[in-house]
Amino acid sequence: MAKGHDKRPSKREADTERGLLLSLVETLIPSSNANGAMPAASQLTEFREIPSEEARLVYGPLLDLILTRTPQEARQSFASLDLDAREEIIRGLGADHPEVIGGAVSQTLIRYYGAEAVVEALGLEARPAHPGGYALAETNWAMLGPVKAMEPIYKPTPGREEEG
Amino acid sequence: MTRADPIDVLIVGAGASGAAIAWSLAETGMRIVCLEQGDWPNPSEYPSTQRESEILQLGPHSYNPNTRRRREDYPINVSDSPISIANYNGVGGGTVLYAGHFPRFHPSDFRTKTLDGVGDDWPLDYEKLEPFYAENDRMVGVAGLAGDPAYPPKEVQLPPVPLGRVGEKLANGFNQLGWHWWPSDSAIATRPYQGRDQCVNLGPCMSGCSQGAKSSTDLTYWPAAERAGVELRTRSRVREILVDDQDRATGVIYYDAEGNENRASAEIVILACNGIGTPRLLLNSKSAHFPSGLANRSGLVGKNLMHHPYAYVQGVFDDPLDSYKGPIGCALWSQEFYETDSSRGFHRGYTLQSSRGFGPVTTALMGLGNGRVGWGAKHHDTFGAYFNRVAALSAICEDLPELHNTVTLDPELVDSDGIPAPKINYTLGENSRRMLGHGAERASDVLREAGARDIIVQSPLPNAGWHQLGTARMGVDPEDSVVNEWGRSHDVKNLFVVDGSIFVTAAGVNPTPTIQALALYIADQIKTRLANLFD
Ligand SMILES: Cc1cc2nc3c(=O)[nH]c(=O)nc-3n(C[C@H](O)[C@H](O)[C@H](O)COP(=O)(O)OP(=O)(O)OC[C@H]3O[C@@H](n4cnc5c(N)ncnc54)[C@H](O)[C@@H]3O)c2cc1C
Ligand code: SF4
Repeated sequence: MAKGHDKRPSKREADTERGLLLSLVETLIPSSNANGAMPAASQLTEFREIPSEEARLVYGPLLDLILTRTPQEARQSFASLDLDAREEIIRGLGADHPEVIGGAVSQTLIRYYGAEAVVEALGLEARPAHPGGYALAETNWAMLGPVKAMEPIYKPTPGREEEG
Repeated sequence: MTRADPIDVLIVGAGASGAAIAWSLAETGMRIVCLEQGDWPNPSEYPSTQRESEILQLGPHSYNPNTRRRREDYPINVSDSPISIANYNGVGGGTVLYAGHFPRFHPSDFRTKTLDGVGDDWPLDYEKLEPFYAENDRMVGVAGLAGDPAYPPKEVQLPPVPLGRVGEKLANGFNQLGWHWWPSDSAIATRPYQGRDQCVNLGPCMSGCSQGAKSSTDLTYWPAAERAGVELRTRSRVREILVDDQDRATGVIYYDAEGNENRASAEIVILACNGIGTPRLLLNSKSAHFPSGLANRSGLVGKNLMHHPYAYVQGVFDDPLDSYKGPIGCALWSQEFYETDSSRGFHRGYTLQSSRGFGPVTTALMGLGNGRVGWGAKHHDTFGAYFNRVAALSAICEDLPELHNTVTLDPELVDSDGIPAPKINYTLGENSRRMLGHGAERASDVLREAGARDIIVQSPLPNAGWHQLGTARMGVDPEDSVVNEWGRSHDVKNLFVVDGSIFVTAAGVNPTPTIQALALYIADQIKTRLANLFD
C-alpha cells in the first residue's frame, strides 16, 4: 500500500457505515414477539461489533447495490426509512441480484441463530450439547405390534430357500 | 515407533475396512503396517463440544472435503456430477462422520441378475457373509431389535435408539398405512459397550461423536488391532503402488507428515482407501506392465461408480417435535418397497429411513434454500413454523452399476502433496430416477398420514455422496472384474482390495456393515490360504 494515503474512514464515516449496516441487518431480521421476544439482528453484539473487514466482505456487495441502484432520496436516507420501505428497496434489488441478497441473508441467519441471546430467546439452552446431552423418553414398542404380525418380506437367496 | 524389518502386510487406509482387516489379520503374527493419510481424530475437538457446533459444521468440520479443505484431504472434482462426495480422511475414515445406520444387505441383494435381470450376481451370497456380519456386529455393538420381518433372523447387542417424538410420528404414519417399519440397526452404544460410553442424544453424529458412543473404527477396531501388534502410521499418504516385472506388488511410495518421500516394501499390499481413493491410487500407479493403471487389465478400475441417490422428504408438523435431540439419522426404517415389484416401473428398491431435525442455524439455512423461511417482516413467523417441527424420511435408492459413472484422474487438480486428484463423472440412471420419484411419493404419503401440513422434497440430495461403491468390483471373470471372489486382484496376485470399491451392486441400504463383513471375510480367506496365497 502506498505510504501517506491513510484510507481508513474518519470516525463519522465509520459511524455512518455502521448505522447503514445495522439498518440493513435489522431489515433482514427485525425484532418480533411472534415466537417469544426475538431481538432484531441489529440489537445483537454479533452485528454491532462485527469487525469492519468482515462486515465489508459479507455486506459490502449489498450495501454497494443499495447505494448505487436506489433512487437518490432513498440512498441518502436508507437508514432512516421505515422497515417496510427498506424491505421494499432490498426486494426490488433482489430481482436482478438474487445471489447478492442470498449471500447477505444466509450470513445474517448464521450469525443471528448462532448468537447466545437468540438461542435463549428460542427457549433453548445456550450450551454445547456435550457433555450434558439431552434426554429422550423411552419408546413404547407396543407400536410395533402390527409389524410383528407380518410375514417375512425379504426374498431368500435363490437355491438356499430350504436352508431356512 | 516404527520398526525397520520387512513388512508382511501393508494396508493403505485406516477407515472402516482397513481397520477391520488389520484387526482380523493381527492374530497371524505377521508384521502388519497401515499407512493412513490423516491423523487420529480428537473427539474433544468435535463440534458438539462447542456451542457454535452448527457453524463449525459449515466449514472445518464439514463432511464435504472440498469445503473442509484440511491438509490431509484431497480435492475431488465433482463439476460433472449432481452428487458431491462426503468423506473423512483420518483414522476411522468415514465412520468418524457416519450417521451410524447399520443395515445389512438382504439375501436378494447378492443375486440381482438372477432375480431381477439387472446389475450382476455377486460371487458370494448372504449366507457366506453372515458369520462375518455377526463378527463385525459384535465388534461394533449394534443397537436394534431382533425379529425384523425384512431380514433373516439375526442378533443385536444393544437396545434400540429411542424413537423420540419424530420417530413416533413416523411410526404412526407407517402403521396407518399398514406398511413395514422397524427400529433401525444402529452403530450406536445405547448402553455402555466394551469400554465406550452410552449415547446421550447430542444430535450431530455426522460431525463426530464426542461422547464416544458411536462406533467409529478409531474407537472399536483400531485400539484392539494396535494391542495385537499392528503398526498404524498416520499422516502417511500413499502416492503409488510399486510393481515388479513379475506383476507382483513390491510396496508403495508415500509422503510423510513433513512431505518427505518414503518407500515401504511389503509381501502383501491391501487397499482400503474407499470407492474414490482406491481407484485414484490404482490409476496413479502406472507402469510399463500396467499402462492404464495397476490391476486394470479389465479396464474397470474407476468404472461403475455407484452412490445411493437420496430423495430427502421433510414433513412439517404443527406441534414441536424436539427434533434436534437424538442421533440425527437413527430411529426407524421401512423396507416396504425394498424388493422388486415390476408394477412400480423400476427394478430393485429402496429403504425409507427417518431423520430428525436440525438446530436453529441449519434450519434457517435449509428453510432459506427451500423457500420455507423468509427474511424481513415475515422472517420470525416463517422460522417459527419450521424450526423444531420437522420429521424427515429419506428414500435410499439402489443405484445400478453403469460403466459411464466413473472416477478418473483430474488432469490439473492435485492434493497438497502434488498427487493427481480424482474427478467424478456421474449421471443418474433412468432406473434410479424413477425409483427416487416413487420413494419421494411414498415418503410423502407417510408424512401426510402422520399429520404433516407441509411436505418438502429434495431429490436427489446433492451433498449425499457418502457411499462410494463399485469402482474395482469383484467377480470370478478377470475380463469383467478387478478382484476375484475373495478380494485379490486378478492381475497382481499379492494385491487385495477390501473397501467399498469391490461392491458388485449397491443394494438399497447403507454399506458399512457389508464393507466391514467383506473385509473380515477376505481376511479369513487370506488366513485360510496363506500357504498358497499367490497361486
Ligand atoms: C457424513 C457421512 C455419513 C455416513 N453415514 C453412514 C451411515 O449412516 N451408515 C453407513 O453404513 N455408512 C455411512 N457413511 C459411509 C461410510 O462412512 C463409508 O461407507 C465407510 O467409511 C467406507 O469404508 P471404506 O473402508 O471403504 O473407506 P473409508 O472409511 O472412507 O476409509 C478410507 C481411508 O483411506 C484413507 N486414504 C485414502 N487414500 C489414501 C492414500 N492415498 N494414502 C493413505 N491413506 C489414504 C482415507 O484417509 C480414509 O481414512 C457415511 C459417510 C459420511 C461421510
Ligand atoms: S447422538 Fe449419540 S451417537 Fe450421536 S453424537 Fe450424540 S452421543 Fe454420539
